[in-house]
Amino acid sequence: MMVRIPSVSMALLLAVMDLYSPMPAVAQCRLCVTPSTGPEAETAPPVKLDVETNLDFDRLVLGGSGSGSAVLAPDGSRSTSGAIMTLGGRAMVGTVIVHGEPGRAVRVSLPGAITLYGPTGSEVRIDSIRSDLPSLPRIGSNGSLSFRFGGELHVSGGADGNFRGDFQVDVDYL
Amino acid sequence: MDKFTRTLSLLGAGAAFVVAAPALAAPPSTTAVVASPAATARAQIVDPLTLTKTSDLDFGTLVKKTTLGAAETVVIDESGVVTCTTNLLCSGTPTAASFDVAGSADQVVKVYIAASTLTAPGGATLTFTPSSSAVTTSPVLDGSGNASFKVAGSIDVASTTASGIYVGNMDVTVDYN
Repeated sequence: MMVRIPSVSMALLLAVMDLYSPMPAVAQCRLCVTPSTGPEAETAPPVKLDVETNLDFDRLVLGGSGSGSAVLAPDGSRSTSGAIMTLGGRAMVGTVIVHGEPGRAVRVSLPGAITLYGPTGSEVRIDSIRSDLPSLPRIGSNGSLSFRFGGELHVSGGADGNFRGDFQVDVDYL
Repeated sequence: MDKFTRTLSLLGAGAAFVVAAPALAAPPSTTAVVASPAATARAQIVDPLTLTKTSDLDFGTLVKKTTLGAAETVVIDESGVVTCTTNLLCSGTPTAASFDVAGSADQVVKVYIAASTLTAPGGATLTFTPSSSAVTTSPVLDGSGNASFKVAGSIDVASTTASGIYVGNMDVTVDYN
């Protein structure tokens, strides 16, 4: 009789462990080891980004000396308003690829606005920069995350010519 | 029974600790903010193009000789010179068509010219074929945004071509390259 009771308790004990424990059934000192739920910083591959395509509004025909704007959305759709008559067919959204630790959450910072400079020192501005990143971006299981971004270009004063502006995209692990 | 109860409560504490652990134990991010290599945004802003005709195309007068049989190709070049053929007599004041195009400075413009049909009062038609150089011309707008170009081409005249004054419209379109 005395022999039987411990075996019943044992069975019950094991059953309870399955119910409660997300940990493997190996004896562990839970109070002294930090369970790792994410990789430690020292062993994670560094995060980096490549800009695959630059944001390019191609050619815009500006009628008259009025002002206008053109929008290139991250999904590639486009629209124009005001004195901008047409937007070239080769207009392209920017695309960026982030490389890093698979599954890791990242924070990406796009510029709030980009100023483009023209031949005679004139300027045009791209703002409302938006991307198609989800609200909590994570690097994919293949170690990369790619996204597209676009913005709204504002033109005024009858400026014409080739305009260019430099900017950077920042990323860090969360 | 006593032993069993104690073991249970230890397990309970362990489970709670595991849930809390990530917030306490996750190492703070030590990776620096990484910036991309410089990226460039671009836009090209141009004025709308305008196209103005400054001269019509005119082959002048072509007289069929009695020896004319199968169709002969009469060519007019960009300076308005007609190359007459063996069995035709060419006279009059031929001119090539010419156009002025205006837009933004230093831009390259493409010109599209389609073949056109010339019609005589009796309904007879002739086809005007623009020259290969006319269809490949790519004028470059100068520093003030202006350029001009001429259109040359050819028509075929045979003994069966009816006499008359043949007139037609030429469709010319320009666009930035």
